[in-house]
Amino acid sequence: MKGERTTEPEYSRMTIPFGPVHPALKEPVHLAVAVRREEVVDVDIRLGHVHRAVEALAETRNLVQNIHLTEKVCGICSHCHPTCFTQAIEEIGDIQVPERAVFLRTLIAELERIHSHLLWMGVLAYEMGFDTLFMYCWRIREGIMDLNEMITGNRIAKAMNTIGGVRWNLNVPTERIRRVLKDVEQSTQYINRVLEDKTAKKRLLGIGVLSRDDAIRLCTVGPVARGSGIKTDVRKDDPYAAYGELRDSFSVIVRSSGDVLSRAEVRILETLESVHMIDALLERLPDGPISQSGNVLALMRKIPRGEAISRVEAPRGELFHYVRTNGNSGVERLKIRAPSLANLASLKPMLVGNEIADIPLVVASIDPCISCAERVTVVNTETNKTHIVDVAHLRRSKKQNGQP
Amino acid sequence: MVSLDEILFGIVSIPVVIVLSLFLEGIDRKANARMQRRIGPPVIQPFYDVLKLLRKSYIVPVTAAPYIFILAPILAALCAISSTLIVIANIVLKTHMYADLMIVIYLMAMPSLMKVFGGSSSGNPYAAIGASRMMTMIVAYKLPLLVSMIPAAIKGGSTLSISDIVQAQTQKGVCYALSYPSTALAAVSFLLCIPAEAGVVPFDIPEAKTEIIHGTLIEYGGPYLALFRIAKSTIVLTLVLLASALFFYSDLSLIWGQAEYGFYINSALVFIVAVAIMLLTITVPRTIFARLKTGQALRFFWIIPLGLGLFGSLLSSTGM
Amino acid sequence: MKRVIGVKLGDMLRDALSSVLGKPVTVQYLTKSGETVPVPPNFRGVIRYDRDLCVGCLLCVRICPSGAITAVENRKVAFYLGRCLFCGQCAEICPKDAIELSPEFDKTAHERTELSVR
Repeated sequence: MKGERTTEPEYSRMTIPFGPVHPALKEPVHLAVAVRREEVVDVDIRLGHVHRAVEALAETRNLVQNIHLTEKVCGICSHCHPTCFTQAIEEIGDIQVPERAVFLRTLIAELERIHSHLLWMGVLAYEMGFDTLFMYCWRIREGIMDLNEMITGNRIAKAMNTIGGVRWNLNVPTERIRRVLKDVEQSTQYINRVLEDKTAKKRLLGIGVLSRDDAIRLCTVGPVARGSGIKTDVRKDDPYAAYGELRDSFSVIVRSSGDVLSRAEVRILETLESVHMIDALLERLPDGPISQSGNVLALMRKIPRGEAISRVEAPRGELFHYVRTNGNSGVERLKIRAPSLANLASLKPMLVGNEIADIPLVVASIDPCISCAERVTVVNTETNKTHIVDVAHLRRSKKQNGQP
Repeated sequence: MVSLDEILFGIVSIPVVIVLSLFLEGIDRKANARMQRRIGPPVIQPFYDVLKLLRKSYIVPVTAAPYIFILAPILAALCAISSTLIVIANIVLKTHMYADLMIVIYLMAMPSLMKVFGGSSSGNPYAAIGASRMMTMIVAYKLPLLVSMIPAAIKGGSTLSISDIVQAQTQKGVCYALSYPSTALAAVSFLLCIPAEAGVVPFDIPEAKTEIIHGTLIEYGGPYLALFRIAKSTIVLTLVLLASALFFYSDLSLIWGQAEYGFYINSALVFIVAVAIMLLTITVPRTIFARLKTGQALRFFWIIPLGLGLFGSLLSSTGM
Repeated sequence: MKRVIGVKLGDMLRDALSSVLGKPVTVQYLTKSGETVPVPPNFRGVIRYDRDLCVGCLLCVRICPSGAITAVENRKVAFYLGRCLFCGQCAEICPKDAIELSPEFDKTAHERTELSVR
C-alpha cells in the first residue's frame, strides 16, 4: 500500500474547500483540505470570516456598555465573556462582590456549561447523520433555556453581570431548578448509552487522535486537552467566583485516548458534574445583597487607571481577558484570547491521516466557536514586534496601498 | 398490435406512478417527524417541492459537460418510472413477460448510475467524491440484492417473471417470507438492501449532507433536481412493491371466498404491505441509526446480506 | 454483541415509538389561532416609556450600549427598537422609573418609523 502511494501521480491530490459555507459548520471557517481519494493529506486553516472588530469597538465605549459588548462576542458562551470582563474590572477597582452575587454568577455559568455541552452533543449527532439524537439533545436543552428565561429574562442574552454584582436575583423556586436538572441528568445518561453503542462507536473511536505531546505543544485548552490526558481546569487550578468553595463538589474529567470519543466522554461527564455542582450550590446559596449600592454610573467613574487579567473556564476551555482602563470610565485596551483560537491549531495533526467522512466529526469535536476566535494581530516579522490595529488604521493602510 | 386502450393506459399510468411515489415519500417524512416529536411537513409536501422545482430556471454550470448533465436526470426518471410500471403491471394486471425480473433489476440500477454520470459530469470536486462513493455503494449492495432474489425465483418455478412468482405464492397459500427457510432468509436479505438502494441513513453515504453537501446532486437545481427526486421516490416505490410481491404476497380472496372482489382486495393489500415495508426498512432505520462510512458499509453488505442470500440460494437449490 | 445492539436499538426504538404516540413538542405559534409562546413575567421585551414621569436627566442615553436612545425636544427621549439590545440598563438606571421592559416580544413593522417608541 505504501509503495502504491509513492508512485501515484500528483493529480490524484485534490483540494476541497471545507467551508466557509458548509452544513457541518456552525460558524464560517475556511479549511482548505487536500485529499488523496478519501484520505486527508493536509489542512490549511483560514479565519477571518466573522471578524467584527470587537476589541476596537471596546475602546469607544464606557465600562458598562463594554459588559454588554463582550456578551455579544459569542451566543453560546455569552456569560463567560462578561464574567471575565467584570472580574478584571473589579480587580482594577478593588471592588468586593457580595457572596450571593458570586454564587449566582457561578450558577448561571454552570447552567451555561450544561447548555453548551448539550448543544455540542446535538451537533455531534447531526454530523454523524443521527438526526433523531440531535433533536433529542436540543429538546432537553430547552429546559435549561427556560430556566435562563425565568431567572434573567432572556434565553441567551442573559446580561447577568454588572460591575460589582449581578442584576437579576433568583426568583425561581429551587424545586423547579432541581426538576429540570434531574431531567437533564437522566437524558445525559441516555445519550451516554447511545453514544457508547456499537454503530456510534464505529464512527467515533480512533478518529482525530491528538497525542498528549501534540496537545501540550499546540497549547490546547479545555475538553480538547482533557481528552488527551492533560489535567487542566481553571476552576480547580485558579479558582474564581464561587469555585473555591465548591471545590469538593466536582472533579476534573480526564481521558487519555485523545480521539473524538474521549472528547465526547469528557463533555458528557462534565455535564453530569455540573448538575451535581448546581445541586451543591443551591444548598449553600447565601442570602444578602446581589449588587453594590448606588448608581452604576457613579461606580464606573471610581474605577482608576490600571490593568488586570482574568481567566475563566468557558465550556470550551480557558478564556483569557486583558483589560486596561483609562481612569475615565473607558477602556484603553481589551484583549480577548478565546479557547477556540487555542484549539484551532490542533486541527492539523488531528485531521491528517483520516478520511473525508471524519472531517465534520473532528472539526465538531474541538467545539469551534469561531465568533470567539476572530481577533486580528499584526505581526511585523522584521522587527518581531506585534501591535494591534483597529478598523480605522486598517482602512487607512488599505488606502495607502492603493486599494479602494 | 398495440391498441388505443393500451396506449392511453400507458400514458395515464405515468402520472399515477409519480403521484403514488410522492405520496409514499410524504408518509415517510411525516412518520419520521412524528418519531422525533415534531409535527413534520404535510403529507403532500413532496408535491409542493416538485412543483416548485419545476418552476425554477434551467441552470447548467460552466464546468459541466452539458449533454450528459442534462441527459442524466431524464434517463434516471424514465427508467425509474418504467421499472415501477412493470412491477405494477405484473402484480395488478398479471401481464406476463419473459424475464421481466431481469428487466426490472436493470432499470432499477439506472438511476444510481445516472447519478454517478451526472455528478461526475458537473465538474464539482464534491460531486466527484460523491460519484466515487456512489460507485462503491453500488458495488456493495447490488450483488446482495440480486442474490437475494434467487431463492424466490427458484421457488416460483425457476422463473424470472414476477407474476409467476406471485402466482406460485397464491398456489402455496402463504407468502414466501413465512413458508420456506430459504425464502425467509432471502426476504431478510432483500429488506436489508432496501435502505441502501433508496439512499437513506445509515447508507446515504453518497449524499451525506454534512460531509459533502449533497454529493453527486450538488450542481443540480430546478427541473433537473425535480426529475432526480421523482426518480428517487419512484425507485423506493419499486423496491417496496417488489418486496411485497416477491416475499409477502398473500391472496386474501382465497380466505375471503369472494372471487370477484379478489382483484381489488389483493392489489390494495399489496400496496398496504408495501407501505408497511417502507415504514419498517426506510423510516425506522432513518430515525434510529447513524450514518456509516463507505468502508464499513461495504464490509456490512458483503458479510451479512450476501451471506444470508447465498445461504438461502444454497438451501433453495436443495429444495428447502 | 447482540446485547449491545439490543440495548441501543431498544432505547432509540422505544423512544421513537413512544414519540409517535405522544404529542409533538412544537408550539404551533400563530399557525393555530390563539397559540403563543409562554413567556415569564420578567421577560425583557418591548420598551414602555412613560413620557410624563421622565424628567430629562438623559442618564439612559449615556448608558445605552448600542445608542438606541436619543434625546429629543422638550428634554424627553426616543427609543429606536431597531438598535435596542433589550439589556434593561435604561430601565435600571432611570431614577423616576419611567422606562419599563414589557413581556411583549412580538414587535415587527414594515417601516422603520414604526419601531420608534416616544
